[in-house]
Formats: sequence, structure tokens, C-alpha cells
Amino acid sequence: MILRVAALRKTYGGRMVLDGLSFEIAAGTLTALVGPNGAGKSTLLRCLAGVTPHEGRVHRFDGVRAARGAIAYLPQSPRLPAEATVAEIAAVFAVDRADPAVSFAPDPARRAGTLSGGEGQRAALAALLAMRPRLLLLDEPTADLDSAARRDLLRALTAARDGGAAVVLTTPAPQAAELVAAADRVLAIEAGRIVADATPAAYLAR
Amino acid sequence: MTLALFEIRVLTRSRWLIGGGAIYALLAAGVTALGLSTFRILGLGSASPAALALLDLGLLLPMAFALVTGSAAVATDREGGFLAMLRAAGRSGGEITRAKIASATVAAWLMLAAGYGASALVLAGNVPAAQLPVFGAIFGVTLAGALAAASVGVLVGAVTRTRQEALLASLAIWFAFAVGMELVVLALAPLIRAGAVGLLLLVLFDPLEAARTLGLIALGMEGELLGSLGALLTTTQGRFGAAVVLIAALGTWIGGAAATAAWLVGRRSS
Repeated sequence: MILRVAALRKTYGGRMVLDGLSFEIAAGTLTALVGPNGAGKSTLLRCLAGVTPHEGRVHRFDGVRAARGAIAYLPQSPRLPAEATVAEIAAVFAVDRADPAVSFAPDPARRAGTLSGGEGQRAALAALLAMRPRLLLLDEPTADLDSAARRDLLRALTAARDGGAAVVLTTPAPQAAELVAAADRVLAIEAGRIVADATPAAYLAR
Repeated sequence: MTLALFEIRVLTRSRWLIGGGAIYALLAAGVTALGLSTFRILGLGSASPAALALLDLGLLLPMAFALVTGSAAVATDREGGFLAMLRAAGRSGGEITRAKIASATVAAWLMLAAGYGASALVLAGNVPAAQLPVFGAIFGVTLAGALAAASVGVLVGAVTRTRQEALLASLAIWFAFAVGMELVVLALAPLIRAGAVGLLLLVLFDPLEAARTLGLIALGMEGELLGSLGALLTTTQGRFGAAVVLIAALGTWIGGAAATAAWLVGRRSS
């Protein structure tokens, strides 16, 4: 097991965004968090990544907590430092790796400020994948990608999963089919609560 | 690649640094040339307006640059999600803060180097070697001022939520440092019987004034030329004591701002 979440709560300005969530994430799995906008998916991912305070417990196991580079978090449509090259950004994350280059990335010599939204997304994903993390947390990773890039991404994510990493990604419900089909498990969230924990086949059959 | 090296590389490519450095170099060369033509000699003598202008120029512009750059570096990364990516990957608040302070400081130091380099070109052949320590004293004080401003800037970026907030707050703080605190000291000095602790507290509120006063002391100025704060300090503490208090004040700003920023970056929502 990589993660165990217990009674996770998060409020913004008095509004309950996550309402007592409890679940576990196993190593070598791909989990899709689906739900409408405002359901709490992004906030949940940020809590799992440890970048926002919350109530309740997020237990990280198997060295995920202690090791640098064990957790990779991709926010929605990230904006990378404009003057940094793709290769430099990858090197910051894959600092202990001999070869941070990943085929998924745009031209390593290009500066982030010259990349389109989709290219920036790919550059960020490539940098994170180069870390070879144990836990990948991706917030709408296909949002800015075209169909070819989405296929490349899914291949990269399933390869990471097959290599033993746990992958958790979010997607809004209307766009979920493609990602859900590739997942091992679907957690559906609405109004800060888990309303379904199902296999992709069972979820898509609903 | 270390995070600090990454941040330094990124920031030193900024067009704002290149443009700001060019403008600052022109201003520094102009001030120096004006001093030379006016006084026909060095222009860096102990009471020279050129020396004062170089000191003020070296504190005001690079400190403003370091303040704004430091705050924007943190706030921009937070808005764009890069800060969260770094933190999730295991980079600590202290490591991120040190990298941001290092990059903003190096950028301001490069700006200062451009200015003093241009100034040195104007001075070349006109300055007796014995006067060079004066030039070095101004340079050293402005370097320290830039480091303090970068630390405060990164703290501002850690406190504010958006890039716009960070820019507005850092400009407001720079204005308060440049103008506001001197007025406060002038107004309060007759009202309070400031002992050593009281003076230190006043100095602690304004790193720019602390650096400027330290520069004036290094230039050998005395009396009213030291400004209200410098006059108060040297009267009560002596020149050496005043310098120690001022260096301690700058050190407190640098260390205090950096430690607070590191704490905030490591605990606040990224």
C-alpha cells in the first residue's frame, strides 16, 4: 500500500470541500478520480500531495513519505518558469538521475515561455516522470493535450503503473471515458464525498 | 542541478534584469561623470555629492529590484503551480526559500556590478588608488542591502497569495523603506528618549536606511550628513558601535525574513 486516507476534511472559508474521505491507494495501480467541477477532486489531490493543510490523516507508506522525488504532483495547466529550458526543468526534478531526458518531452532546448499549453503540460509531465516517482498525482493531465499526446501520456502512465508506481489522476466526468477505461479503479466524487468506488467497467456501465 | 543554481540561471535570463542593469549602469556612469566634472577630482571624496548619489543609487534601485524580484519569484511559482510541484517532490520550504533569495540577490548583484563597472570606467585614470577603498565601501554596503531586500522580497512573496498582490506589497514596502521610515524616525526622535535598544528597534524597521547609514559611516561622514538616524546612533553609540548596530540590524532582516519565509513556504498552501 502507498497511501491510506482517513477522515480527510478540508474547508475553504467555512465551506466544506472535502467531507471525511477515507480510502486506500495500492502500489502498481491507476486510479481515476472523477466528478463534476467543484466536486473536490483537485483539493483532494493537493491534500494527497502534501501541499495544502487539511484535517484528518494521510498516511504515506513504502518510503513515499521520506524519499525525495517519491511523490510527483502535476497541478492543472501548470505554468513553468518561462526562462527555464525543458531540460533544466527536468533536471530540477530528476536531480539524482543520470539521464533526466524523457521521450515524451518537447525539445529539451526550448524555453518554457515559448511552449504552448499542451507542450508545457507535456514538459511538466516528462519532468515528473523522469523522477520515477512511487506516487503520481495528476490533476486533469489530459486537459491541454491533443489526441496523440493523450495516447502518449496514457502509455507513459500505464508504464509507470506497471513499474510499480501508484497513479492517481483526476478528470471531469464528461471527459472521463478514455481515462477511466485505462484505469484499474474509479473513485467518483461529488460535493466532497466519495459516491462510488468501482471498477472501470462497473462505473462506465452506470 | 541544485535548485539554487536553477533559480539563478532562470532569473539572470530575465529581460527585466538586462534592461534594469542597462538603465542602472547608465545612471551610475552619469552620476559619476557629473561628480567628476563638477569637482574636477575624484568625486568620491568623503563629502562628495557624487559619493552620496552613488550610494543612494546603489541602494534604491537594486534594492527595489531585489524586493520585487524576490516577491514575484515566489508568488509566480505559487500561481503557476510550480511551487506545489517542487514541494510535493520533497523540496523543503527552507531549500526553496534559500534558492529564491540566492537568485534575487545574484540578480541584484549583477545589476550593481553593471552599475559600478560603468562607474569604474568613467573613473578610470582619474582616481588615485588611495581612494579606491571608498568605492569598495559603497559597493560592499549596497551588496548587503540587496541581500536584505531579496530576503524581505521572498518573505513578501510567501505572505501574499497572488503575483499582483506580491508586486503591490513589495512596491509599497520599498516606498516605506525609501521614504516613510526616515520620516517616522524624524517625527519620533524628539518624542522618545531612545537608548541603545530603542535606536536598534528603530533601525530594525528599515533595512534600507540601515544600509544607507552604514554606507555613510563607511564614507567617513559625520554629523548631519549621516542623516537623522545616523546622527542619533553615532552620538549615543560612537561610530564603531553604530556600525555594529547597523550590521546587526541588516543581519536580523536577512536572517529573520529568510527564516519566516521558509516556515511559511513549507506550511502554507502552495
